[in-house]
Amino acid sequence: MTDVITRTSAASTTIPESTTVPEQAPSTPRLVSPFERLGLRGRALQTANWLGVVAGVYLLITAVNLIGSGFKTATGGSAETLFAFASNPFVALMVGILVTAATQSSSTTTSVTVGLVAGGLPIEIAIPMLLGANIGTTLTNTLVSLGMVRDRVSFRRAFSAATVHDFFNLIAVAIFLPLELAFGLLQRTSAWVADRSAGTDGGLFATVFGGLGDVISAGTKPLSDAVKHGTELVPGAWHGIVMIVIGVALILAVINFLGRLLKALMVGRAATVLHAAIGRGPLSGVASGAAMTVMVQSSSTTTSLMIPLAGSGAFSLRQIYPFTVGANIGTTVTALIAAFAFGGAEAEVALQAAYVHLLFNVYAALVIFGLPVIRELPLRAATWLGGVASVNKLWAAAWVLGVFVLVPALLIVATVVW
Amino acid sequence: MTGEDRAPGVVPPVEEQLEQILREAEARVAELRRQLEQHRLEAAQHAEVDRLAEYLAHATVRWTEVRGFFDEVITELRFPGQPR
Repeated sequence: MTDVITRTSAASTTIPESTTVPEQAPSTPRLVSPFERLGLRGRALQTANWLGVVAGVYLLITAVNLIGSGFKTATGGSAETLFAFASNPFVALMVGILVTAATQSSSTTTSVTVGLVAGGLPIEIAIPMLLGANIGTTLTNTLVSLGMVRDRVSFRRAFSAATVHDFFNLIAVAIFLPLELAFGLLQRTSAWVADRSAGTDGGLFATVFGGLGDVISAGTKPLSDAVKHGTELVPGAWHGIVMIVIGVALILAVINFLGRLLKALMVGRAATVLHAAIGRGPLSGVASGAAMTVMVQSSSTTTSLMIPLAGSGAFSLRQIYPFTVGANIGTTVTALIAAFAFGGAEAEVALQAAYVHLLFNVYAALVIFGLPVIRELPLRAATWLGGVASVNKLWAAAWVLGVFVLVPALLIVATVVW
Repeated sequence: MTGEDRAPGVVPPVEEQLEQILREAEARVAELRRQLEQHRLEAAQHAEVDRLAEYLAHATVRWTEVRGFFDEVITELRFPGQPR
């Protein structure tokens, strides 16, 4: 036995692949709440942060309500005319990609879309836009990964971690958009769920859900109406457009504000969730990604923070992948909250739009992540792209500009011109 | 004569016993190495998660870095093959 021990100790020790700290390792040690800048500390700061979150959600719902009212005013009940250019589902998809890429927030796109649907936008046009939001939101972490370009190994890992999200969402759209066009899969299932949760014959759940929605929308209506009356001087359809612009600007500001508050408030809980997920299987990764995204209300934030974790080599691509799938599901909560801006029949269609986003991401997780053959595709594609991009940066540039700017813009222009 | 075709009750030669012990020990060592590697990896992951506040604070696009990246790409396109 001594012999065995001697041989063992003499053998070379296997050391895990060393982790390299990327050049761009963060230097700012902590998150700062906007209220902290006002001099608040301790319990007062905590209270102010939570009150800020409540106010933010209130303003978000009000802004979505404003968009719905503005869209009705602008279109005068013929919303199809205004969005005729997006009646081609591929153009609507590209609109979703471009708007989300420009705002770097799928929550903004989905909330605005929920408002537009409540204001009369046909759900057939809204669905590809919501699918496009999923692709557009992946731009943020891809841009974050470009910051690691100076270290080739870190960049390879980081760019792969970013593009695994791109590939997953592209494959999801490639599967579910044709299914939607052929069978109306998302439209039918979301209508069914919306009817059960907000319809007139949905039972107790719908009654409670609908009642809650009515209370919330009644609370937000006065502010929405005040903005509507305050802008009445603007003539005709422009009045509605001004309301939409104010609503979109408010959503952008509120989501940014909420994001900063929630990061400061939730960092401890988020870390607990991540610690708990370490060493467990991919389902824990999906759950932690979803939980964390619900906490910070931004999939861009959660997927972007995984970039330095992947770049340093501490987390493998295979471990990052389920986390991004969970982030897709977690981010759908914002649209569900936004749907509370409306009551009655408007609530049902708004909720249907929100459910489209939720169901699409749940279906995508079940089909792509659930089937081993398809599950490997985003991993292989991202590994390959990360490899070639780390050798020749032109690949990374072509990917970013092509997927998120050129192809969507060219498709829209081509459809409008022809 | 191997362990399989030996009559019951017959003690295997010392050399065979030692080889068996060696095989078991090596398997155990391999398992311990795997566990140690896993433990080290998870410890590194927990250490990274402890820095979550920093990472969250920086989980935004820094446009100067994006611009720097595209500047590098343009330079590579203009002067291919030159060391940077």
